[in-house]
Amino acid sequence: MSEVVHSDPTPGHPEWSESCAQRALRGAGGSPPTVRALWVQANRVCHLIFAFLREVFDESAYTRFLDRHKLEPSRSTYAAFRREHEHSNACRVRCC
Amino acid sequence: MPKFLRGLLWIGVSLLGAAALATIALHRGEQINAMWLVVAAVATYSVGYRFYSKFIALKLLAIDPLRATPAERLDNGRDFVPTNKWVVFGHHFAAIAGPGPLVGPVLAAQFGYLPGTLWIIAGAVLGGCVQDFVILLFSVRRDGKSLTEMAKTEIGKVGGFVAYLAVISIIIILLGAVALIVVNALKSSPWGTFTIAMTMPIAVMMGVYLRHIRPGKVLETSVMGFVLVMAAIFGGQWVAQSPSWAAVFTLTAPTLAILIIVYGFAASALPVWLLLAPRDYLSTFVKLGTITLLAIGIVALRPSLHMPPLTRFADGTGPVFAGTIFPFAFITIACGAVSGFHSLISSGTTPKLIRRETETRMVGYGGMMAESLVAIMAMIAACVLQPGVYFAINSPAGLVGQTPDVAAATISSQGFPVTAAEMSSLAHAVGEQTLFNRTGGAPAFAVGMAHIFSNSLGGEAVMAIWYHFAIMFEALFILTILDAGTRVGRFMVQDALGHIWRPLGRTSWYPSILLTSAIVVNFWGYFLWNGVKDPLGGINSLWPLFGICNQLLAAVALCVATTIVIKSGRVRYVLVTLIPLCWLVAVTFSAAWQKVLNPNPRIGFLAHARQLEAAGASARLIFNDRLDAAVSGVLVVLVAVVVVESVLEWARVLSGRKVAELKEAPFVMTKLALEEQG
Repeated sequence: MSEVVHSDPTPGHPEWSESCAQRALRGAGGSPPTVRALWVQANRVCHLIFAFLREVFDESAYTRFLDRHKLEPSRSTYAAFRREHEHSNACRVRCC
Repeated sequence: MPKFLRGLLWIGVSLLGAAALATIALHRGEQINAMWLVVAAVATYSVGYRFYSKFIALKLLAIDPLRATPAERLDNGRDFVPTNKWVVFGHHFAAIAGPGPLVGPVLAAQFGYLPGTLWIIAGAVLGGCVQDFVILLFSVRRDGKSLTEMAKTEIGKVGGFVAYLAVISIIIILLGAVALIVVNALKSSPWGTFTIAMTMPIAVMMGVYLRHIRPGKVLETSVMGFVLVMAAIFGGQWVAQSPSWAAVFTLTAPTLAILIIVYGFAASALPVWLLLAPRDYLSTFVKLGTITLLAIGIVALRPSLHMPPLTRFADGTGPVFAGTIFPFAFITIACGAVSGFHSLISSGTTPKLIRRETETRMVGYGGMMAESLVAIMAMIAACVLQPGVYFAINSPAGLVGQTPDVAAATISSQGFPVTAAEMSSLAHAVGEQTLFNRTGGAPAFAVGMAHIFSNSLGGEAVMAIWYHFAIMFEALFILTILDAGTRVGRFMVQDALGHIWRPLGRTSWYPSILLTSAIVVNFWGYFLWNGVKDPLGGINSLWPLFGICNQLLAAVALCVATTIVIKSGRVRYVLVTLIPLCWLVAVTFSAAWQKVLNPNPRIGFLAHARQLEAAGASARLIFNDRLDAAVSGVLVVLVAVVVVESVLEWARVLSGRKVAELKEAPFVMTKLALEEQG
């Protein structure tokens, strides 16, 4: 486990305040959107959808596995990835 | 946006929601547009999310944007991975959305659209979303601990043990109930049976393709699998029209039950990459696409509801399942309003992906809102049908009659006109031999969905395609749950047996795999087999039993949540979790009481056993009723033990006899907040 900076439980540590949490929950405000800003937003949404699909379909997990072990994609590395993920994948609860 | 404009906007949303709720509650006589249900739900969810979930986040949970989550602290690139909140949201939603929110509302529509809709909306905002949110946050603060582990450390050893038993019971009963839905949807349906049978070689082909031809290209493989499944749906039409092939795929309910039991065993014992993983990918792909399509279809086509707001069956004499609105509507609709099963996911994979504590609100509370909206869509799909058609599909033959003419006359005499000719024409339109007595909810949902889409996309000509697409979609969902559920059950049994003899606990030892798979499949297969043999359709007894189990698990989760709230010194806000807990205890205990002891044989298991005994029925049917009664009784006693143990713990903490000790991971400052600020 990482280094413990504060021992007090939440919300008792010095940096915590309700307004701080409120700010984080609210998110940033902004000026009215321009066409360019909307284009950027649309682009971001497409990237997010793709990232979501890659995560749900375990493609991101495979990429992380390759990065972690410094491997190139191949049949044998995919088989190794599946072996590593077999238990966690099989134990993943699916709701009714 | 200026503050006063924001205020005006929220006042507008609240008034719109109130107007929509008033319309669906007070409208009588004429048909109502489905959009009123959607507007009421979306407006209520928006207000609930904006105000109630924020109140919970700030006051009850004291969410801390500066506290590092386990995904950040324990990041190992495998189980613990800090992930974008929208990606986690989608991941969480894909895990919690199953056939439950589709089937429950369809069955509960026998009371009319009003009771179910109000329960889905209110139950989600005040109960289900709260449960998912608080359990997710508490698990995040405990390094992603599971519900059973939290129950053990926060309530006591008994709490942990009961949570374990509740989980395994719910899995077994769930698997029996959902397998019965598939059997009822596919019996005497060569088209549906062919389509679903084809998904198995398709999944195996996907597995081989993924492993040997294009390793790791799951999205590409899933798209190919989807195209093949669509081809199977079109091919099914040809199979149904060919006398020789139709005979091969026209199966009786017992035959289908045996095939599903054999399939469940094979799926549990085969390597994950060959069948389970590709089916899971395919099912997720179809699930997300179909739910989106259904949402767009309802908003674009705005169908009218033919079902009245309240039917005469509010008195408990309904043919779909017996019992009054309280408590049976509240256990029939579980997953769309409050589902204990969600607490397993909120304390499973999801907490290990959360990047910031503040994101638990959107993922936990927001994810359940999305699931609840799916339940509203299912309610709409059931209620767009003519009530006579709805009851003809969902009523068991043992209750309304064996032949089409007798069944139509019985249902018409109850005030819901329908003719045998009308049903025959509908069955012909969707490519089935008959739609009478197709209990379980899936066929009614499929007919409703086909009805919505065929009004604009392709017309009556493609109604059969839409119907079989919906059947395939639900059956695929359910078979994936059978695969995954049997395997999860197997691991739990192996874990328990490992304490008796260590080799049995080894998940890769083949004799142990075969033995424990057989144990789990035997348990749910037993419930399935008895459901198939039950003259009242089986779903009558199995679905309420599953609903009771699911809501009892939610009660355990809320006991854990309330205990943590009290221990953290936030007693003044304890009603947030205590009120849903009290409601669930009241609902589940009274439902279980009635299911065991009600003198009406259609409701009480023991009364039904006595009736069968007097009629000289087979000993197996009588034993089955007694077993159902015993299971209900044991579960209620176990959960009562958890509730009592929790209350004693609260009393000890509140009276000062015990020092409240939370088992949270120590506070570590997040580095992500600084990174986000640049």
